[in-house]
Amino acid sequence: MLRYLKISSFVVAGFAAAVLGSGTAIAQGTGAYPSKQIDLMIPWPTGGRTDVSIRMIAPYLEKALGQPVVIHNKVGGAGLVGMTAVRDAAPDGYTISTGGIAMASIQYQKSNAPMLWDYTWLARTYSTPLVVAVPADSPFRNAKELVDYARANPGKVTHANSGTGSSTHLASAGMAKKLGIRIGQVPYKGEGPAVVGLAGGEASFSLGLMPAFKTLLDAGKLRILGVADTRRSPLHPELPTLAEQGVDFVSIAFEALHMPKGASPEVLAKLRSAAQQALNDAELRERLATIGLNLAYQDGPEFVEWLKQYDQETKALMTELGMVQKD
Amino acid sequence: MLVDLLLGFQVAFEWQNLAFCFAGALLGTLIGVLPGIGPAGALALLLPATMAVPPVTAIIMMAGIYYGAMYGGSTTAILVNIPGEAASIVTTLDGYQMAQKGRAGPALAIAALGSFAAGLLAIAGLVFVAPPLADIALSFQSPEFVALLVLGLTLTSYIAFGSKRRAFMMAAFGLLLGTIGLDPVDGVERLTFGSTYLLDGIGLVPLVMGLFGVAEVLVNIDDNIRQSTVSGSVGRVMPSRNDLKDSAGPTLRGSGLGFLIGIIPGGNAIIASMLSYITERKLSRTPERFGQGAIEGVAGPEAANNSAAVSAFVPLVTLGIPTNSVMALMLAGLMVQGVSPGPMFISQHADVFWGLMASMIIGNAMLLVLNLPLIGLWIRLLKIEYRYLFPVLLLFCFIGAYVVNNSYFDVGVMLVFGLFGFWMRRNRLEPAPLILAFVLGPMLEENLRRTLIVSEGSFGIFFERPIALTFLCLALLLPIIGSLPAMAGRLTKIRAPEDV
Repeated sequence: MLRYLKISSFVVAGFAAAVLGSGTAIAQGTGAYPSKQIDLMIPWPTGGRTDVSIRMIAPYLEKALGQPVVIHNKVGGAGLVGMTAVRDAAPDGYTISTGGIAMASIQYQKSNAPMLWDYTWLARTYSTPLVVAVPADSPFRNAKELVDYARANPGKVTHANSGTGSSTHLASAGMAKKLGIRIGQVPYKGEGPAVVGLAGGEASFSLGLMPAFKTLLDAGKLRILGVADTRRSPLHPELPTLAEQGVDFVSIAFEALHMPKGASPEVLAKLRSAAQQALNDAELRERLATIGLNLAYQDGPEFVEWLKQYDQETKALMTELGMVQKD
Repeated sequence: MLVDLLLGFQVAFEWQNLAFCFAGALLGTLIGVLPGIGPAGALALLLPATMAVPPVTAIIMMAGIYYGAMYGGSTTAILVNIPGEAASIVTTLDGYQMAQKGRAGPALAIAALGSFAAGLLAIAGLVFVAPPLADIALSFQSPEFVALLVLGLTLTSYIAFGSKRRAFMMAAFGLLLGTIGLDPVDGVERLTFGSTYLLDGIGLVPLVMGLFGVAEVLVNIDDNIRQSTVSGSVGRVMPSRNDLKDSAGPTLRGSGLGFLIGIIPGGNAIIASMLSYITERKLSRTPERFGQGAIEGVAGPEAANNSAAVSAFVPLVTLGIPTNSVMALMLAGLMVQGVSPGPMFISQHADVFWGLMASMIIGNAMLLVLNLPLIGLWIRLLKIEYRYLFPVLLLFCFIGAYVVNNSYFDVGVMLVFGLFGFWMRRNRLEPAPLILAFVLGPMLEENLRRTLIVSEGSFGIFFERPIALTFLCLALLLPIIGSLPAMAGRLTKIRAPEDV
């Protein structure tokens, strides 16, 4: 019995060692990076814009990297759970993420929140200007009228957004700050309800992405007053910019691939070149356009220069709104 | 219209579409049967793959997964008292009692037949009245939601069987749990105790898995592990003629109610099944049978939640508004292919719309054929000794709680509420009112505060909106009407001595 135990424990130990050994061999990889699947962790649930867009992009990244790219929805804490998990992951190139806007604001709101600069930014994926939408029966025929009315009647004009502190809330607050007007907010839980509420006349206007408004626009329930960009959108060349109407305001929604800080130069180079290859694919451009997003590759270092300025603007805005909890 | 539907059948009967419809329905059933695992995850994984097939094939399969999951949700609710998805909570009330009395077969069969009938009725509704209904969906704004939710909360205590006072206590506790997280208007943290994990509040799935799943397992273990879930015979598989007769009315009413609730963006299947249950209990000549294994209590809510699942397509196809994450994924699946749902959808993409409708009819029939023979197999599960069964049940609860957000914290939440649920059961406190209040409370708060922002603080807005006012009057009147028989009974008792 005792001998049997000994033999069997040897067998078990040997087997375990073999399994562990092979496990580490797989984990460390035999060849160059990447040698196994890459986890792309996002802090938002399935079905949202980040989720849908990155699921479209992922197959192209896979093609460029030669390894599967698996999307994980690490949801919770207004995005903080996922963001923190990515920040604290090993910078071995097997955990990457996408996003940026939510992080830029939440980093000043919660004391334990990760900062934009806790990550290495690899490449911008898309960049799409927001548009100003109003209910179909709104008295405002153009953006100028809306802004003039808001200036003459402080607090009378309200905007529908997808939640207090959400990107659409901050975008509209940023607009008010830039134009020196005072507006109220009508917060909803998510973009869908906000758009329905706007169509029902619960708010004066909403600043958001075109795809959010598209169907109710087609239904004749909404109107678009203008695009918050310096030039007309390639996706909607028929829409005037706010600048054309004498309203000086730009607001862009973007996302960028990023990973925990401290990766080796080889890993960074591989990921950046893979992103460059994937994010310049004409087919992907078309596919993203179907959900109203404008594929806009920009290499990490170049994007970071822009992001620094965006970070400063966001901080100034949040300070003004009294939402800054930490520096 | 019929010509269009024929065209739809032509599309749906192409071998590729038939195969994808079947695959979707089968996968959906599986997802529905497993507690906690919902269709959203499966759809998200499939999204990139759908680009490889034509749009109509993609949407047929995605829809199959969705309504297949709605079918499967009742199975574990009836067999082991663990709802397969949140909307099946109401099914546990009488479905499980039926199983305990050796009537699991008829309960499962009625759930399947009711789902089938409700599915067909809702598809018919979708085909004939979808476009005009779009405007109703839009007229449902914050004040209307407030009124509907007030009505829902008023009725919450009717879902309980024991003392009203205890039901109210549980509902109040559910409301309190619902306030955890970020305040919906000011973004202030409430009851989070500084924890990042509590910022978004407690998840519905871990809460349900805990209060129903884990608690149920603990109760059974505490009862010295019975030999099998059901002692003696598991009884007949198919419902009797009487069962069918008793279920016809509830199924029809449930279908209608579910269809209306499903149209409202944000009105969800839980509310539909709960309202159906309360309606059936109120209409019944023998309401005391409810909670003891009344087949009407299974037929009505099951029909309602399936019907609501189908009519949730109304806002999607007519306005392009997704009412939940599953619908959002379907919207994305269509838009990727250059098909954008909305007012022009039915005319511009007739093949997609009618093909989908026809495939839903075929898919529902497939599900029925698939599910009825399975019942014999399912009820044999009840013969398995509980000590072999419960580890598997617990495993699925763990997986279900984890996969929603890929969060261990959610697993912890489930365990805490599992213990709490055990304590509740031992103290005759019912979990259903707690869950319903937990779902309705935060929606009510959000909509009420938004209503008051829009009306600049005036409650007068509720009197200016006919739909809202109607619901509020119902909320006021129903409890009074409900207590009339009792009051009448008391009056006759008081008068009785004089008459003698």
